Amino acid sequence: MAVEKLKKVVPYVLILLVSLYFYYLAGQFRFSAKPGNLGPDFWPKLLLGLTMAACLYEIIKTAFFLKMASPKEATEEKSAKVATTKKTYPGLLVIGIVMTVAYAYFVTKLGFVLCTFLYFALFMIVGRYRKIWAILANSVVGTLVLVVIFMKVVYVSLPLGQEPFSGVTFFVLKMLGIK
Amino acid sequence: MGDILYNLLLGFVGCFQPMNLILLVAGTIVGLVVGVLPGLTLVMGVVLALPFTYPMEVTPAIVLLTAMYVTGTYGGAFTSILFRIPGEPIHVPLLWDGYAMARKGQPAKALGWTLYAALFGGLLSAAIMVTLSQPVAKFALTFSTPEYFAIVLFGLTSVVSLGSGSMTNAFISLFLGLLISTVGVDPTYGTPRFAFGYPILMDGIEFLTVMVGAYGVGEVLTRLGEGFTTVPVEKVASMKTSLPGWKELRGLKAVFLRSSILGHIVGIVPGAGATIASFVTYGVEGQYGKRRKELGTGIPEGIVAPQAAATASVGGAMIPLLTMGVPGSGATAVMLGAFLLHGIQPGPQVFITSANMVYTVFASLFIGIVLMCVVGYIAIKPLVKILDFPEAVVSVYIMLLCFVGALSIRNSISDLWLMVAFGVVGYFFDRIKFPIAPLVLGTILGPLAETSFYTTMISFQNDWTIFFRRPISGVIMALTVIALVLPMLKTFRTVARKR
Repeated sequence: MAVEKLKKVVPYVLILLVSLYFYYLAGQFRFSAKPGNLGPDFWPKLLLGLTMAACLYEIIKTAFFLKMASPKEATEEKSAKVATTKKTYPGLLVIGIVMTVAYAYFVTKLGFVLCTFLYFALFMIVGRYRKIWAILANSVVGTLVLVVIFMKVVYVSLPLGQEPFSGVTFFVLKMLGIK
Repeated sequence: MGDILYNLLLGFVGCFQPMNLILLVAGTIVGLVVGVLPGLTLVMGVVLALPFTYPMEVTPAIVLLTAMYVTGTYGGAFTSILFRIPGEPIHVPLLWDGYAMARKGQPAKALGWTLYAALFGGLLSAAIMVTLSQPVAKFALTFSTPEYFAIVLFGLTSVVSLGSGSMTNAFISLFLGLLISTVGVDPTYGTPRFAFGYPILMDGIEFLTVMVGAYGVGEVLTRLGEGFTTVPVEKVASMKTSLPGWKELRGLKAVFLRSSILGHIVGIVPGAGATIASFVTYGVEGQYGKRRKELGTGIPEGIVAPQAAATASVGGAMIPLLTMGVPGSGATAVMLGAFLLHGIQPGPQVFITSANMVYTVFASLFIGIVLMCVVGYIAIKPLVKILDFPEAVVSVYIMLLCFVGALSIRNSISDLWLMVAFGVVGYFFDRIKFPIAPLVLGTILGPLAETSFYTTMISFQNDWTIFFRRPISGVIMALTVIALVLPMLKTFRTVARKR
């Protein structure tokens, strides 16, 4: 039971600690306010104070006032929950997060064209889609459509990449008639 | 009144200019598609469409976004009723009576009720919007910073108190959103706050980055964690729409009126939107409706109430956006972004400086609602076919549009990093039952809240009671307190009864 309560309390403790740190940072702002005027630290401190108060409320409520189910009830509740909860794939989620972070890292190095093509293909595979020809077609066509729309029509400046990968970008842009 | 009608007529003429008309039709179709897709909310659809509007003039840009916004409130109804798959959170109440009616062998009738509800709610709300906008704009000219602060506070509080789930979690989410908006250089003193020396943070965190990350990337990651298990779509005998008769419609006129007006009012509240309108109206029907005991068994009232309110909320949300520059919902927050990108600050003066644009947008709403119902009636089969698309394929397009959307905000890779970070935050918020809407709305309305608060304090020598002593802000603050206290009282009463 204590473990269950601890699990419920963890997010609030984390947010409380982070808020405390930011409250300290807010106290370090350098400014010269006119006497009697509120400084730029007032508003963030107010919000951080309210956040900490809300977290403390939940921590105290959970620790001292929350009645946890008895072990028998907890087991029955867990079985009912398992019966209704969808199956989860934490591995896929982790891979998805890693891929997304990797996209942000590699897009400036590989360029938008190459990075997007790879992301299209890998994401569909990670998403348990297995039709290879559809994956390839979507990756190629999807990348080209995005390049045309955003670089030719909307004029968004997308990363070209570093050598030698920028060569791929320039080749594709030349093929699509984008200067 | 004559002026308003004349301007509206000019607006209708403006709508038939080729670019405006093309984008109105495109927005209607795309909005319906977005509404049907379960992985994509209408707010996300409007956010993802924003980069496409960069090379456009402001009028066609807003026409496109408005069309997508209003049709997004209707498209998800088809899948809710036919397959028990709500395309939007708005359409969850439609599962209870819409799907139930379909199971009783009347899917066509359920779709017919939805069509009429969307049509009536949308048109009535648009008419109220047109009638009220100029008087509200004139009234807004009397507003000063205490009133703006009070309105924003009311909006933020309402979204917390009207939402479902833990109020404390919603408040924490809201405070964090408001905090995110403080990152950057303070507007009053020019002091860097929480920038940690990074130039991109000195420019602040754009609310679009938070929206795209938390709503778009966060949602896709959640579904990836579930393995993109597509719910098998049942074979339905008929996907036709059967329109109710005049007698049946007359029998429900009170529900139509009540839901549309309530939806419009909820839409006006800054921060509340179509989802809250839909749930609140269904709840009101459950409390006060004539056939409240039968709600949930497949009665027309359970379809008309949420759908009329959801579509009506659009007209309501446009009022604070255009008259005060305060977004009434997430989608109107994106439209505010579109206005600002084109150098237009919405507010009372926009009715003088850009009246033609405003009334063209008004007129496009009327046309868009009718077009939405016509397209929905004719094209329901191909629209619903979209559900056959593999979720992994649709999701990767959403992710890439999110990436490009983030890159196009300030042409900075740092926005992409921030968006990814907020996407992961959005996913974990969802896991620990912290609602995302208050976080996003805090980020959107935070700068306005802070600036109006500080300016008031400077102007009134730190006298915080001014918010309560000025008549207009006093009334709004009283409503804020009521909006906060009522749900808490309800919770205490429930807990006391259980003991």
